[in-house]
Amino acid sequence: MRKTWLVAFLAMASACTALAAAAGVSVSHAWIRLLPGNLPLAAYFDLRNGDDRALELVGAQSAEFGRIEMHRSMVMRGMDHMMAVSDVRVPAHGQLEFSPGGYHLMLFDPQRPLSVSEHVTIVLKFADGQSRPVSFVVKPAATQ
Amino acid sequence: MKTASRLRVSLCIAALGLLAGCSSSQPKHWDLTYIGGVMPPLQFTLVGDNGEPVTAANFAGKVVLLYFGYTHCPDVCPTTLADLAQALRLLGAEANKVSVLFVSVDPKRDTPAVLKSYAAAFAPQVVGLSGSQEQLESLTKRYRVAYRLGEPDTHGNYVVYHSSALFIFDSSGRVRLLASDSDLPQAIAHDLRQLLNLSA
Repeated sequence: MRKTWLVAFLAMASACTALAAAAGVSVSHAWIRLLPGNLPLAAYFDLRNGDDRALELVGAQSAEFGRIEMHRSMVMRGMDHMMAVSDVRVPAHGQLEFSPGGYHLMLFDPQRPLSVSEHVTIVLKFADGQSRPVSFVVKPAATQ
Repeated sequence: MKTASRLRVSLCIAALGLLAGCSSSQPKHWDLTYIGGVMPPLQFTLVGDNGEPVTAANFAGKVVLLYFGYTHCPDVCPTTLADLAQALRLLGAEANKVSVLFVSVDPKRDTPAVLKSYAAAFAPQVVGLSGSQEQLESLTKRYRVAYRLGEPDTHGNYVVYHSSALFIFDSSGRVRLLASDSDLPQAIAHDLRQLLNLSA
């Protein structure tokens, strides 16, 4: 009996630690640019790290997409390049912008047709094992 | 002697003024890069979004923006097309005198049907064009546009590296302006309006 309580207590304690660590992270302006058909989509957001230590974003996952990669677009010698990124560092009390023409999440294989204004949950994953579900709003293709 | 040379100087200045006056139909300031005469006039044969052959003659009388990209590019291409759609909105009713040609550099994945729904998602003036390898090469060589297919990843997905150049032709098909996908809609709308006034 006492053992059970201890396990429960430890589970709660670790859950609290997890929450406390994730509490320092805030995400805003999370949106997806909708494209027709089964085309890969891009997702954008602003991430603020309120913690005293740096965070490392290492990926994202969602039941709505077959697979999600982190990418970065850049112009090199007048050519548009896009490359996969394995991790992105957010300094302590720093900010990271995933925005058009820069960092973005690339969402492959939408599992169903999405529509404008609906919300889709994507879980952001960090190197320390934390994860953070974020609600992304779907916007029209021609959104600036 | 002194008076004569001063007179000559004033005459020269007056002549310069006259010259400037003669060319006043040319707007003095372009927000984008003016490249009039640097590249050949608009000419191509491609495939339209219903699978029909399309040539530059289909856009006679329109100011044409020529941009190269591919639909599996979820970030830069849609962002550029969204900026162009905004520039068209800023033009108001004048926007129906403009066509945006989105030429796919990924003919394998971009079928006319895919391009049709993709182009329509941005603005009615956007036309998705594809073509055979030869047709595409002839157009990209004509405007010195570079593109290269990347290596497919384990899922068979591949990136196409492509030029960020955006060419703008006047309503007679003469090349006039060079923009890039980082130019703002306001700048593009400003210059399109000047081009439309030149044509009027």
